[in-house]
Amino acid sequence: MGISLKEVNFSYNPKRKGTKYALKDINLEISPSDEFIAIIGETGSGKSTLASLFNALKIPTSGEAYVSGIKIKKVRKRRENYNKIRKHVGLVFQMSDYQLFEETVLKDVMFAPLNFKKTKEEALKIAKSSLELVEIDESLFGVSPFTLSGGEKKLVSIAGILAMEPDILIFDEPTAGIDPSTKKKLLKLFRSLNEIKHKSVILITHDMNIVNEYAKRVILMKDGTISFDSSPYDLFVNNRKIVKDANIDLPDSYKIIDLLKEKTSVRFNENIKIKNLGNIVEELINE
Amino acid sequence: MKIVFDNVKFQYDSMKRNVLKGISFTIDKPEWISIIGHNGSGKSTLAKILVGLLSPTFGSIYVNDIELNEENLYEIRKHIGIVFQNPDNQFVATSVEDDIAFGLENNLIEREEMIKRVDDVLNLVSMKEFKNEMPSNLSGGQKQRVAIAGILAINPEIYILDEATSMLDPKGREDFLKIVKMLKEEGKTIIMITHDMNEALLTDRCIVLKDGEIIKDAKTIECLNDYELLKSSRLEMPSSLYVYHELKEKNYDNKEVLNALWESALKK
Amino acid sequence: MNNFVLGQYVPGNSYIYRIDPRVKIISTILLMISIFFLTSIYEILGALLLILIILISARISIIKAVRGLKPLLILSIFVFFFQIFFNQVGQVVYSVNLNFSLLSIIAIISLTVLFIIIRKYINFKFLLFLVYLGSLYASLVYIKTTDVYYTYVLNIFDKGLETSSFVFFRLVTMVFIATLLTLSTKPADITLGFEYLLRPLKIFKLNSEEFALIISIALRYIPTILDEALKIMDAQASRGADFKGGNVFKKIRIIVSLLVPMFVLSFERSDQLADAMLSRNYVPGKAKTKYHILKWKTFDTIVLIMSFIILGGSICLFVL
Repeated sequence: MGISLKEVNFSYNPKRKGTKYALKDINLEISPSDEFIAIIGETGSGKSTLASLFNALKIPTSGEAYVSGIKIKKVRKRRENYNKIRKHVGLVFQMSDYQLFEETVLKDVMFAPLNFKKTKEEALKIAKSSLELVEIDESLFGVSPFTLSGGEKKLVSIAGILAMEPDILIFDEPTAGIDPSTKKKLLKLFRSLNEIKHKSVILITHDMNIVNEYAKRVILMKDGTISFDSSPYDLFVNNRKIVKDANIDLPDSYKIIDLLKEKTSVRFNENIKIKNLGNIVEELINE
Repeated sequence: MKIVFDNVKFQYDSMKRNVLKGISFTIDKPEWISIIGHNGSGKSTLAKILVGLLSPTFGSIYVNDIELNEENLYEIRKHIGIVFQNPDNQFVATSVEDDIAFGLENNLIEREEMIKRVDDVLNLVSMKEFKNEMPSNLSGGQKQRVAIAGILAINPEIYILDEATSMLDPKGREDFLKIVKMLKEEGKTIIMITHDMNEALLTDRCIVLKDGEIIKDAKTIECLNDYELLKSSRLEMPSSLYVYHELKEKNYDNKEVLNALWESALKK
Repeated sequence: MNNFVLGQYVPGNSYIYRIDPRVKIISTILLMISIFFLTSIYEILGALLLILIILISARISIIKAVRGLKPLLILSIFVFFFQIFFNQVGQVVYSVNLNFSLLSIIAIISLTVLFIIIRKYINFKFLLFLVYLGSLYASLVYIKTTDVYYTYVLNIFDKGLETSSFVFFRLVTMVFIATLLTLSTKPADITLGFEYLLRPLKIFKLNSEEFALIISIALRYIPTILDEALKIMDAQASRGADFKGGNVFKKIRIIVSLLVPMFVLSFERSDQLADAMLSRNYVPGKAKTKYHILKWKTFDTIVLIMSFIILGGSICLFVL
């Protein structure tokens, strides 16, 4: 059933007169499997607010939002209701430090399954397989998460969310400030979660290279509204004006195509989807 | 201003391993230098040693032929400014103008001069209308602009940027780099520690660090065009050079394309 | 939350904004002391009137000043009723029978439930609270069924009424005086004022500049830390942590899950902040030049003298 938003508005101070809406008139359907979505836009365009709405961390001021058929609304028994939603949607925050607190890596990953009423044995099993999935070595299971490097912390915090076994995974700026080798690992993980485990992956990112190479669908936020919702190819090839107006970068591969268009007589076939620099090399050689 | 690192080694007390294993280099003219290297290669430690926040366990640093020590540190810091990575953790005061004044107060600048300089640098970084703003109302990019303005106000000869753009969004980064380019025009020495290769490509000279050692110190284009070197130090190639390199590997021979790629790498 | 912690400073440019923060701090203290020398309700009402005149002439919105009362409202109302019930001296001015019967108790309970439910959906909480108190009173007085269990004769004495109003208005006046300072002075200026005022304490080895710097860094980081705390709570909540329910053991664990990341981030922050300050040539305890200086004006002298006159006047009233 996934995520379904109908005419959703959100404001941080709904009662104040003339309040500014962080999200305006959002209509959106996200399937619970096989989606790979990039949410992009300038800082303050509402990307992160939208993501926290998917996780019932924010409640729509008006309009209707459903996650797995459950309506996101203010409820008395907060935990039971919200946790039903959070079981389906995992949210990985940008700062791993917001999440890690236990004495050992393994215990930290077990935190979520234990909150979702799993037994100790089940939680342990899930935690181990989640850590395996993010390629954290078994020798690190017993160490304190605070002794890890930045990249390892990131992987552990992701394992902590995978342990909830959600259908939809949201990553807020997963590659910001991460070294290239961990970045590669992360991207490989996202792809395998999407293609092998059929999870829906949502990335909030400023890195257009990742958007172009990995995302199947791109949602562009501008001033709290969705100003574009289609494929990256459609955005970067057919809708340059939108790209420019939203103050976002072009992917490196399109920058090079533009450069070659300007400086040389080489022309690229616009029907071929250029996903990365490797594609450009292939195209030039096959020409 | 001349800076000489002579076989500088450094280790943190708690660790046995040397973070820096004998670093030697000289800066003797205004240059835009990038220091690149993987996480844990010792980049940031090097920056901290440069501004005297850490002192080397072995080796010496000479600034204008005078050895850096505890006594002359205060004088030398007037000539070296540093902007750190995290915009939030270097904003000391409760407002923009006060934060810029902080360094001026410490350097015993007269009040009339201070007021003038605060206004001047706010103009330079286009933050005039935010003069009285609280830091919590500013974006990361704006905070970094205030941070560099605080250093501009002291008017040092050397600017160190320790991954200063890594936590900014593309717009914030662009605005920040505009200021850096302006400094370069003015003939300042800029040392930019970065792991963004497209950013490193902007510089004239490049120092590549790997596991606490300098493995290359040359013209930027030479460093960044060395595929083996970058690969062995776990770094990526800038995009235009990567395509250039791959095409050459595969014996692609359209000179027009190759030239265009090479030129664009040089022009940056 | 931010507003509460950072004071309720409202930008403006009336005369009160131009008073030197040192004078404002001293005058605030002097006025507060003066209030303690007032002994009758009429004097307090006079003082309140004076403060209101100052507020209005300084073009400070009364609504904002009343908002400053909010945190103390319940306390002052409690004090007010406490005095009415237990101060039984003087003449009876009003006497009423409070009847506790089955019906009136049911009425009280249903009114309370109604109040709790409505409270969530209404903006004028204080007004609602007063209506609630009034209807409680009405149901005790006017519901006179046959099965009255107990009748409490509530005698309101003139002295009791006077004392309770006295205490209530004294509190209100005090809060208004304090809000006058916080509404019209930036936190940074208050800090600066204290820095100057504490300078004489150098003989006790207290460095007022350092002290002011610490206060200003604390003020600067409060919003950042609050923001961080909210994000950490979100991060843990999205892993199924429940900050509202659960038994004691679970609660402790949840609090740990909030505190550990906050400590880790705070240590990291103070480390980086110290580096940033040192690299900008900050040396603890070393003399600095000053960007902000306070200049004493004639007007400040007048304000200070007037404050002393008010204090003197109230002492005279007390003694005579």
